[in-house]
Amino acid sequence: MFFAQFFTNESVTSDLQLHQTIVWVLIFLLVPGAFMLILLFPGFQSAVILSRLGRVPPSRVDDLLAWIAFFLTTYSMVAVGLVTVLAWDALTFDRRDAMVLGSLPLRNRTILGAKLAALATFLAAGSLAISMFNAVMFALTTSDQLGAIVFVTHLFAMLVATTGASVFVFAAIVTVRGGVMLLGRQALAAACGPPLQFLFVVSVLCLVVLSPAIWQVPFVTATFTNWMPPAWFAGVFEQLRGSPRAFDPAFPFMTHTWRAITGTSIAVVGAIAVSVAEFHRQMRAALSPPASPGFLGAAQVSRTLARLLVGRHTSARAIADFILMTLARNRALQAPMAMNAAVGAAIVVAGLSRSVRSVESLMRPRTAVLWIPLVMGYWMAVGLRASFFKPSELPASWSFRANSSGHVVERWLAVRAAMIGFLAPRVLIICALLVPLIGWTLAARHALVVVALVILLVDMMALTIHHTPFTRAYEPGHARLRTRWFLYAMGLYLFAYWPARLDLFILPRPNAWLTFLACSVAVIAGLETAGRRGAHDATDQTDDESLDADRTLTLDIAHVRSGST
Amino acid sequence: MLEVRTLTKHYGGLRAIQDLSFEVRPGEVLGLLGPNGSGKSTTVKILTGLLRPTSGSVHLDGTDVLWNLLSYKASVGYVPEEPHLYSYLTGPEYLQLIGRLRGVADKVLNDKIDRFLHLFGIHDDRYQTLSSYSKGMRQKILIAAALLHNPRIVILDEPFSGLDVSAARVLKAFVRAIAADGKIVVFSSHVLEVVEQVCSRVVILKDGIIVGHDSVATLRATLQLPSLDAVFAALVADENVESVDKRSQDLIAAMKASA
Repeated sequence: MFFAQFFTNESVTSDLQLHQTIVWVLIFLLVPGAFMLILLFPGFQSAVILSRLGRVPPSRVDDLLAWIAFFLTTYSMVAVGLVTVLAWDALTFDRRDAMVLGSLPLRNRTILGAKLAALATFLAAGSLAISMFNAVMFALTTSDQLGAIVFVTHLFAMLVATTGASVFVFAAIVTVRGGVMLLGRQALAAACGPPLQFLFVVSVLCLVVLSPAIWQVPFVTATFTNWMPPAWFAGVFEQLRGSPRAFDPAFPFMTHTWRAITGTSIAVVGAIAVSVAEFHRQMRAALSPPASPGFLGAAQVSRTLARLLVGRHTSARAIADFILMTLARNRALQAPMAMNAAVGAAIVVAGLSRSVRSVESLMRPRTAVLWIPLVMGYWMAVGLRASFFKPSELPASWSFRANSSGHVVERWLAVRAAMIGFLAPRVLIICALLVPLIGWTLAARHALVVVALVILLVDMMALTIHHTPFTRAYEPGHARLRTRWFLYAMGLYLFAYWPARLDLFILPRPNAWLTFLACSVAVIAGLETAGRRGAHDATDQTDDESLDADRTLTLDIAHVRSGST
Repeated sequence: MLEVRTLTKHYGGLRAIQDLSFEVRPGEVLGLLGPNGSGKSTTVKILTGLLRPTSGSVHLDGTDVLWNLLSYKASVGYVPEEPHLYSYLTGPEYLQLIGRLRGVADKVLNDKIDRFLHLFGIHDDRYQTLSSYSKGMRQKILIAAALLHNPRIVILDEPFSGLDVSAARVLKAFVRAIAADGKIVVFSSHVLEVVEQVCSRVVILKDGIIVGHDSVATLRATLQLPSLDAVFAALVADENVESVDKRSQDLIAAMKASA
């Protein structure tokens, strides 16, 4: 039961879909490691050959091996960290576990053991798949000229180092979550999930994007990297592979290994301790009501903006409020937005790493800088739309059918207003971050262009949403990034890249800038008219459709009930 | 007056209700009774406009409600059997959502919400999300949501489910009072004692058809039985006392065998 909780997801509708999702996540995490090793292969091979020919010192090969080990341990930590934060809510005992299991004739030791075993199995399944694959690839890449013994040594050393790194990060995350829960900050612990998911997705993508550019940077002499946990486990690798520098006091590998062992031990003990403490706390609290209402996201700014946009339509205001408050409070809906925002952040980093050579070159308008709010706005909008199709509030959707006036126009207005209310403040904050780079005037002008483009994008997206968000049964095929990536890539060019290029041209020219804004306003007005008209036309049809939907829903429930009795 | 004329509903090949006809006048509380699967919920959902009948019709003041379904829905307040609510909203936020969907002005709405929360004794829980509410508290929210817009027709499907004793007493008196105020009330329930106390007339369903339709007193007199419970058993139950006892003993045997 505890192990199954790690994979519970509202949008997964069958075991087959669940297995497919797990396979896709693993492929997503395995491919970058292999990709990186393929990229590093020529450089390493040439270093080995040149070393044998005496053109470069043998230490060059050792440097490269240490660097690759550092990279792979970093990647393992980030990948396992991502898998772990994806299952954030299931990492510790919760109230529901206590309510269900507390009434059963089970010893505390048994329940606790089951939870810890589930955590260990989850860690083993995630980390071994990634570590084993990368270790095999690494050993194949680095030992073809050095013999079978070196292959086995490299495989073993890398497997231990990356698995150790995985255990450390997993245990550290469990400890942090449990610690926050123990301090009585359940709402805070829950709220940390989506930002951490965002952070780890960005880290994975940035590692892939940036590694070709930074792989030449030496790490063994850097003071900062010596304190980074991946360096500790690179030290473990050096020790286990029998590096000639492993016990040399001139190199920090002994210290690294010691830190790795100590750090991992502390993290594991911490994870077990908080799991035990949290278990006892939840068992005591299971029968008492929650002590405090907890943090309730109110989305005040977004809601105010949405209210201004819908005007006097009270139904539209109600629906917009419902959308924004549900988004602010439901973590299952925040996950796709965090993921998509992370994709946007990785693209931004990739753009900067490719085109910006120095900090000074950032201080003037350029495409890689101007498109930052556009890229982020685009991917946040994609994530927002994807969340609308999650049926998180389906059981209560009768409330709308029984109480709503049924006007599609009001729903369309609400969806549009909620999307703008959600996106506009966020892209404005990102635009504000550009002020130190391009100055107040240009940043303000750019912000207006960005907001106009975001509204345009929302107007187009709102035309594709024909239901009240979160209240319709999941229809497979929506927002599938892996099968429709070309559409999203095209959208990125249309919405972010070319507008940024255009903006680069019009920003220093006030007349051109004003003309662009005027044209944008005209197009927005046109799209809004089309949206309203489309919604008006849809009113009658939708009434019939909703009745059909009711019929289908009722039938399904009838089948379920008859099947269960 | 609300009239149901030869109402039939099929789910594919499954007949849920067949040729139901009855009427409810303003000031009346009509009880809908029947065992599980008798068609009560289907009837209620058609009356609320959530389902369309296969044949037959529902008329309000002589007009088929499907002619202007939105207008009809605006006059109905509905308490569903299952307390499914938007779990991420607080009680007042949910009531605001429903009130605004119903077009109630904000000032009036906030005042009403405040009064309902006080009257139902859940004002202190107003900052908690509905996910942390007990079943009874959710039921109170559902009842408040159904009454916010002062509906002309009130349809209650198992409204006492999960309510504490004092809230149930208030609600019973309230149902009688709103009927006395001229509202049309349809009351579906399994709790026969409550139906007997609250309803002026009852419709008893079995396998989708009406097997009894009259006032409780008339049904009792006609069948010469002492209570609605006995009337219900006579009209609906297939089993006599002996067979019920036997089934009970069989259940105990099955329970012990599995232990």
